[in-house]
Amino acid sequence: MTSPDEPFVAFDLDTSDRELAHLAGHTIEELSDYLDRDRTPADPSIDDSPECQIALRSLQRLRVVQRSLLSSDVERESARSDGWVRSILQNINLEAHSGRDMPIEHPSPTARLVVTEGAVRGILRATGDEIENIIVGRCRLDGDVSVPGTPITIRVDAAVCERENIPGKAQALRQALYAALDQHTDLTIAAIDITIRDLYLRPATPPSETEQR
Amino acid sequence: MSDVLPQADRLDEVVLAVPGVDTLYSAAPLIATVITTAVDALTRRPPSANSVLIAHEKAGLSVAVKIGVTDGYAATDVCRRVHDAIMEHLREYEEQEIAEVAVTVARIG
Repeated sequence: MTSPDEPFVAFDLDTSDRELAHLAGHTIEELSDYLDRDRTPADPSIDDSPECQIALRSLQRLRVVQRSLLSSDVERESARSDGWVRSILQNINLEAHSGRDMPIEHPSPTARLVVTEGAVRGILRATGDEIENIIVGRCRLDGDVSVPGTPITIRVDAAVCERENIPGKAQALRQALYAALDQHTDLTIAAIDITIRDLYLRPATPPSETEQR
Repeated sequence: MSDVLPQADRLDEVVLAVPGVDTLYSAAPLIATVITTAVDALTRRPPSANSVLIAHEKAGLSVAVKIGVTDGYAATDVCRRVHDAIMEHLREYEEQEIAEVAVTVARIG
């Protein structure tokens, strides 16, 4: 398991890592602005970049969660939610870049087939975010993913909605991640370590008709 | 002039016709944008907007593509099908040896 002392966010990055994390020359803030403008005017340098597309989709999912949180107790939660939302934004920035190539097997000697690390992290994040009341914070693939058969450990940090059963949510996330990795990669998965690093407030439910009367 | 080069130009369509491929990104200029430009010049057509990179090397023809995979499709299967579709197309129209077909899945879903 990941050490509980390990920081949830990637604040421990050096400058070169941050530079590498740029998204086709754009920052996560620029992509966020692009979403605010409803992607107009169209920017081909963003629209034609897979890294930017992965980051934009992650941003969109995060915004849905943020909107639901805004209808919760904003006064009580805003400071905390700002912190973990900011950390997720940083991780989206870091993880969307293409990274290492992971081979896909093919019997033909002419074939050189790969899926990028960025694409895999993107689908892991999307898979996790599809599980209700859980938000993926960080995805990491430990091991030499470029050599077929090498055991790989997936390490995922996540935030869970308050009052959820954490072991149950972690198990659901683990199963979903296994399925996604099996579907989209030829990786040999040794383990999927999940660390729940934070809790966030349950989104407010609209009052029932009876309560409104 | 051989009809090989114009047929290779249609690889964009071949790749995009594979079920599960929703985007064809410009492949990284590792093989050679220069080669594509040379092909355009040879065939006397406007500069190519192709995303498929084609290089004629000593060992044979090398092709590189970078794709996005539609949600609901297995990236591994789509990637293999793209390779197979390119090979089938090249075998039909290309007389040169095929050295390498590189397919990169850059985005899933």
